[in-house]
Amino acid sequence: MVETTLSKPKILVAQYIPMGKNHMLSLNRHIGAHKSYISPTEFGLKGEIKDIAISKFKMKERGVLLTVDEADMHSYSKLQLSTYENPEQKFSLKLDQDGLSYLGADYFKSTMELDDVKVTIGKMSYNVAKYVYPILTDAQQEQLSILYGCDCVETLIACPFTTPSYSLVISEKINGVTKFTNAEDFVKKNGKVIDAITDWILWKETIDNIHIFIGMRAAVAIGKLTEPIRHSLDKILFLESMFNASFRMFSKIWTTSKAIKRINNQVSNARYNQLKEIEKEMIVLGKELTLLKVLDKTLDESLESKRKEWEKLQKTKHKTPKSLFVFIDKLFQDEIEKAYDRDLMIDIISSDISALQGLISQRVDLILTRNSEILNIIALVFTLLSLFGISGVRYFAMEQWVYIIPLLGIFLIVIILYLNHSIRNFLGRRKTRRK
Amino acid sequence: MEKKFASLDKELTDNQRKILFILSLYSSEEELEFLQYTGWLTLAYFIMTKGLLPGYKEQLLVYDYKTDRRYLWEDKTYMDDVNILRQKKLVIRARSRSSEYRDINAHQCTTFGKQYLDFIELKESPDGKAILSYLTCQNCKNLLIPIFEDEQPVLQCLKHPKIRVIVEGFLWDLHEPILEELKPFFL
Repeated sequence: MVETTLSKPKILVAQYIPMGKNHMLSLNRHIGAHKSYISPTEFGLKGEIKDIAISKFKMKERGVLLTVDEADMHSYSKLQLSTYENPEQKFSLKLDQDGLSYLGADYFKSTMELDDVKVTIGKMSYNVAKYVYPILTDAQQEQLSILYGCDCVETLIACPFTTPSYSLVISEKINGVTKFTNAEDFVKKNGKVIDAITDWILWKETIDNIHIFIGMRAAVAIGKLTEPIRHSLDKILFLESMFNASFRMFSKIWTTSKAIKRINNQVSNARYNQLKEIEKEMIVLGKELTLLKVLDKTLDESLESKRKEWEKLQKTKHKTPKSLFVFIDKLFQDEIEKAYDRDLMIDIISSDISALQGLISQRVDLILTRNSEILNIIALVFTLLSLFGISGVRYFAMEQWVYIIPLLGIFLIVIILYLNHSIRNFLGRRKTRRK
Repeated sequence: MEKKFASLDKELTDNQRKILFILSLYSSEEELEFLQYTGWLTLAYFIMTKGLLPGYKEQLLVYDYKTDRRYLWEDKTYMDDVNILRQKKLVIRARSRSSEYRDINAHQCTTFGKQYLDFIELKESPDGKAILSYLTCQNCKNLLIPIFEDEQPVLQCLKHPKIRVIVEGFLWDLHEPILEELKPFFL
């Protein structure tokens, strides 16, 4: 059986990385984009210099070697990336202010079976976090950690399957398939063959002799790219990576909302020690919410900026062909509408968190107040008892005992109440569940 | 009913019968027990490595694994087989809510499916016995349950936790270096 192969495929693996002009400038300055070095510089080494006064220092792990190909300080960076272990193997790395970041490679000597393309995409996607995340700022790393539900960026790098990517595969030729005239005809005659790379196909068409298949996980373009198609594919890469990020953002908002609901149910019956645990959890949730708000705003701005760029493109000779225009326009619309929904949900969660914090404070106050009240009564009764004690309890007559016994009784009752209250609220920690 | 089962049997392949049998061990329509799709894949892959599902190949899919999307095994025809079993009312598909992740795909062998399996006496056949021997604990004969560990899934006896079988190769290791020659490419 003849296997389906792609000749000399070019593979781009893209992820959304929250950027903006400030981070873009910071990154470009950090990597020396303005200096035009010919030799690569190593970045992203693991570890740090503990004492800057001591000139000799040791790091924990090697990073990546970067050479700047082209850059606009505030807008984008096109880099060549290689590793210390294999300095001759050079990938492309592009980062832009709108968050589109991709690792790319031209497998110019290979003819790959589709499953091998899929495995290669997987390997490259594992490398995106490993190579790119260490060179980002702390703020960007924190945002990505929150977005993907990890406690820190080191965990993200150690679990690269956590971060979703979207890929683009470009090849001038596909082999081992029944002859076809266009994308529609390809699928009719060859079935779900290309699904191995794209997953479910969302859109397919042949434009300017380029057969384009856009799927859930990847897009494949077979043919010689024209400028309009190249620009369109750039937008599709951005929108699909944005889709991944916004989807994870929505999941994160949903899990935060669930956590708030769970805590809300626990508060009314919680003991003092449990409330203290809940307060700690609320602090973490509050911090996560702040980062989510920043990330949400960054996503919104990225979308707006990219959309403006695309609209400008439509006034040039590289404007998007009509059918692809409709598809890309819908993707933009969908992301914009999702952004509005997200804003609303974040506002609701903010209110819920404020209300919950108020409720927790109220409950803590209630417990402490009740505790004080009981202590006050004990003190009062004890004072009265002491007075009787001073007057010589051994010589008490029956008539005196008539006064003592009720007071003793009240004293015993409040002691029991206090002990009960203390045991319920202050002794015996029960851990509240924290995901 | 027997006529129906006999006619049904002619429409199914060996692989379809076996994966249905595997599902029937881990699910029940009456007891509302389901098996996560990833768990079903794990078991099928394991049995495939023992040579008992010869129709399937080493192919990969990106799919849910615990709370992540991982590269794992799925033969391209596996989902087609599952859909056929569903069309024949032998399998029910469900999406179940989970406490810490999004909805999970799961399946259940129907009572009708179990009756069909009883009719063809798959459990008593050499393949059926072989499958059972791989999926049960040597000590207590309870089923080994697929547990999703980070490195690879394991089949474990819940009563005897020391009885564990690592299902090597189910999750693809993509940390291996790219060997093909390449050069930078910008769009």
